Amino acid sequence: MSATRIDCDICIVGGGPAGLSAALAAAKAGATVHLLDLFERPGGQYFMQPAAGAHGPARRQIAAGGRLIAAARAAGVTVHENAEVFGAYADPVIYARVGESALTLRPKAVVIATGAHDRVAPFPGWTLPGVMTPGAGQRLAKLHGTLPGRRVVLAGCGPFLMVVAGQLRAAGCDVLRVVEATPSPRALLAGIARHPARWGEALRLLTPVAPLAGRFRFGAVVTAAAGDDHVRSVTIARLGADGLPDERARETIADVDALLVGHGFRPSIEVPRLLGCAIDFDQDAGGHHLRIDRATGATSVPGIFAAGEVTGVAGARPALAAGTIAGLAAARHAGFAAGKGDERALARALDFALMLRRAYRVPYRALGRLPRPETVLCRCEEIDAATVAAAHADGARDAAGIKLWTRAGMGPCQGRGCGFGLGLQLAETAGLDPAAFGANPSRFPARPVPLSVVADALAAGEDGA
Amino acid sequence: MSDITIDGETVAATAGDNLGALLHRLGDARLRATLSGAPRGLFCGMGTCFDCVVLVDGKPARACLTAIRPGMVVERQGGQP
Amino acid sequence: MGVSGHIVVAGAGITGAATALALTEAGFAVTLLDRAAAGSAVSGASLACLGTHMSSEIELPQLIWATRRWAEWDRRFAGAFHYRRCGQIRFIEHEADIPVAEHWIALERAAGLTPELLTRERLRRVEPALTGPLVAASWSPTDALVNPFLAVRCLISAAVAAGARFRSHCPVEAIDVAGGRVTGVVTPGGRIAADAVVVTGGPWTAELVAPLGVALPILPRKAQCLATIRQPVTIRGVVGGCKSDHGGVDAGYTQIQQSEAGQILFNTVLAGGLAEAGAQGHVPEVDRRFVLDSIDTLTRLFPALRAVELLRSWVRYEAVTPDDRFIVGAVGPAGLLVAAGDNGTGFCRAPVIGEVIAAALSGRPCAIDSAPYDPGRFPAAGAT
Repeated sequence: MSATRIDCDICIVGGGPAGLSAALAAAKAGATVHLLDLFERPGGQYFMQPAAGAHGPARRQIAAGGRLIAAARAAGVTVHENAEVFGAYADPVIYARVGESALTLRPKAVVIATGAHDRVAPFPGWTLPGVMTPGAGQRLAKLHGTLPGRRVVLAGCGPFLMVVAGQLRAAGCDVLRVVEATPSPRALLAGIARHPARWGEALRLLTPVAPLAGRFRFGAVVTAAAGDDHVRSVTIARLGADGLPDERARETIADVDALLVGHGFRPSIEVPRLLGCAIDFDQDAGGHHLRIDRATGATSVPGIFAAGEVTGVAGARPALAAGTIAGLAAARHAGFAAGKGDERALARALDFALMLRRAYRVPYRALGRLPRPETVLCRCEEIDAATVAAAHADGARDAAGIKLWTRAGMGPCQGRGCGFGLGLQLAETAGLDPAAFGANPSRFPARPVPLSVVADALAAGEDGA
Repeated sequence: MSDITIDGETVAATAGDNLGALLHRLGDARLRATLSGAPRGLFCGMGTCFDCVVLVDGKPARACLTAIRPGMVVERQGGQP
Repeated sequence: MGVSGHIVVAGAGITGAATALALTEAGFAVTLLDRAAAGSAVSGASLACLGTHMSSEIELPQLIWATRRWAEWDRRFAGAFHYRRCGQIRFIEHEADIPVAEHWIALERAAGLTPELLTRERLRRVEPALTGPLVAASWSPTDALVNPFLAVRCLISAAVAAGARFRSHCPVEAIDVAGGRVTGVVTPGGRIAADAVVVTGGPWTAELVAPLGVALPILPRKAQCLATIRQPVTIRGVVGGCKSDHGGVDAGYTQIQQSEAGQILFNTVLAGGLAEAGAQGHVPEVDRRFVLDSIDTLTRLFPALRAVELLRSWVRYEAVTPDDRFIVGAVGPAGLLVAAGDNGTGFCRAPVIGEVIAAALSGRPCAIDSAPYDPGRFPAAGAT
C-alpha cells in the first residue's frame, strides 16, 4: 500500500509519437514534465522499443523512436513506465496505477496522447484463439520474439495491414493471404505519386511486402473463422457492387493458425472523456475522437490539450507535429514562454494522412452484416447478436439502451471492444445512427483497478495531502 | 532461466519476458476459457480488451501487460474478471 | 377523475413503466415516452431493493402491498427480471443504535412482517463475509432484489404487449393546455394529443410542470454507486446501515450487495448532497469523497475485498421531496397528473404508484390508501 504524489507543470498521458514530442517540446520550454506510459518501455505502437534494441526490418523506426525517447529524457522529462491511468478530473488531477501502487499527479496542464487501439468488427469465429488484431500480432513479433502463428492470414482495411504483413514475413511467418477490403491499390499508388517527399518512406513500406503481391486479395472481407478450440480455417468473400459480401465469390483458406484482423483504429478517448473533453464522430477518423483546436491542441476543457490519434486517426507523422504544438501550448498554459510549433508541417502531414484515409474504404455495410445470431458481439460479457436484436425489438435504440438491457459493454473493457461492431450491426439491420454507439462511456475508473489503489490515489490527490 | 508455476506445473521461463507471449506459445494460442467455457487467446495484445486476464499470484492480471517474475504463480482458469 | 381515451406517460423509468402497465391493463390507450433510453436515468442507476425494512413508518401497508405485487410479477413474467428474495441486513456499529433497530423491528412485526435482531454469531451465519467491527444487525428475510434494467424492460414489454406504445429518445418539451384541460404534449417529433398526461420524470418532473403554474417541491440529489469486477458469491443479501439516532438518510446511508452477475455494488453517502439547480441537465462525474467513503465502508465491513478491482462508477439524479415520500396524483389543470419523488427508494414503490394513478384516472377506488402520496400535502402543488 503506497501512493506517490507529484505536483508538476505538465503531465503527458501516453508515450507514443505524440506524447513524446509533446513532452520534449514542453521540457525544452522549461516546464517540469512527467510522462505516464502503460507499457514497459515508452514508444507506443509506432515507436515500440524491443528489449534487444534496434534490429530487424523495423530497425530504422525503432532507432528513431529511441532517439526521441533519449532526447525527451535528456531534456528533463520524467518517464513513468507501467503506469496505467485510471482516473482524471479537470482540476486537473491524474490518477494512475503502477503495479499495486498509486501514482497521483497534480499538474498545471495535461497533454492527452493516449493514441488508438485496433478496430475490429465482429464476425463468426472472431473469439477463437489465434484470431487477434494486427496490433497484437505486431507486438508479439516485434517485442516478444513470438510468432502469432506459422500460417497467417491478415485481413481488414488500411496501410497498417501491409506494414504488419511485411514484418511478419520477415519474422518467418508464412503469410497466406492479405485480405484488403479496398477494391484496388490504385488510389493508394496515385496518392503516393502526388507526395514525392514521402516516396522514400513508401518504398520502405512496399519493399518488404512486394514478395507477397500474389497473396493479396483486394475488395474482399473475412466472413468467418472456424476451428474447434483454435482458428483452423478462414472464409473470405469478395465485396459485390452493393458493398456486401458476394455469396458466390467465397474462398476458404485451410490450415490457418492465426488470423489478424483490423479495420483501422479507434481513438482511446476514455481518459479525456473522464475530464469532460468534447468529442466528434467521423467513422473514417476512427469514430469518436477528441475535438481540438489544431493550432494549439486545446480541447474543450481549459488546461487539457491533446495530440495524435486520440484527436482522429492520422498516423505517426501528424502525431509528431501535433505533439510539439500541444506540448508548447501546454507549457504556455503553465506560464512558460514558448513558441507555437510548426502548423504548416502538421498541415502537410495531415494532407498525406487524408490521402491515405481516402485511398482506403472500410466496408462498413458489409461488416454490419457479418454476425450471425449466435455470434458474440460483446467479448467481455459474451453477449450475442440475437440478444442485442431482441433488445432492439423491445425498444432499445442506442448504446446506453443496449447496454442496460443486454449487458453488452458492461464488462471490464467498458465497451471499447464492442462499440464499433454494435454500431455497424444496428446501422445495417435497424437503420440506427452509428454515432449513437461506440462512444466510450466516461465512467471512473477508466480501467479496473484494486480498491486499495483507488483509495490511496484519491487520498494522495486531496488538497494538503 | 527462472521457474514459474502455471496451473500447478513448473515451467521454465525467462524473467522479464512477456507472460502473454509465453502463454500464447505454450497453449498453441489458447490462453484461458470464459465463464461459458469458450476458449480465448491473446486478442488486442495491448491491455485494452481483457481477453487475456489470468490470475497472477492470486490477483487478476492481463497477461499481455505482465512481465515474468521468478516464482510467479499463474492460474489460467478463474481469471475471468 | 374518470378520464377515458389516450394517456401520455412521460418518463420510462420504473415508475413510468409500472404506471404505463397499470393504465394499459385498466383499458386506456397509453403512449410511454422517454427523453433517452428507458430506465437510463435513476432507475438504471438503482440498486433496486424491494424492502419493507427500516424504510418508512407510515407506508408499511403500501410497502407490503408493493412487495407482494413484485412477487406476483416475478411469477407472472417467469423470472424475467431476476427477482431474488435474498433478505436485508442493517448493520449496527454502535450499541446506542440497538434500540433504534428494536423500534423498527417491533413496528414491522406488528404489521405481520418477520424482521429480527441478530447477534454477532447469528450474523456470521447469515452473512459470513461480513466480518467488520459490528455489535449486531437487524435482519429482514423477506426483502428482495431485482435486476433494475430487466424490470423496466419487462414492464414496458408487458405494457406494449397489452397495447401500449413506447418511444425512447422522445423528450416531452412542453405540455399543452387549452380551456383548463391538458390536450397533449410537444416533442421534437411533433405534437401528441392526449386526454391526460402523467409526468413520471423523476427530478425533471418539477421543471416540466412549472410552466403550468404547478410548484412541486422536488429537488435532484446525486445518486452514486460503485461496482467491482465479478467475484465468486461473497455477499448473500442486501447490506445497509441501521437507521441511527444520529440521523437517517439525510445524515448518510450505505448499501452493499452482489449482483447476480457477480459484481459487488456499493455506496456510502455521508452527507445529503442535494445538487445545484439545473444540474440535472447533464450526468456528472462521481465525487471523489464519495468514492473514498464508499471504499472505506466496504473494506471495513468486508475486509477480504480490499484487493478486489473497482470496475465502474455511475451517477444519476434521484428526486427528493421534503418528507421523503412520492407525490402522486392530479395537480394543476384537469388531466395533468404527476408521480415522482423516489427519494432513492422508488423501485419497491413502483407498483403502488401505478395502482394509485390507474385508480385516479379510472375513477375507481384505489386498492391501497394513497393518502401518504397526496399532492395536497404541498399546497403550492395546486392539487385538483
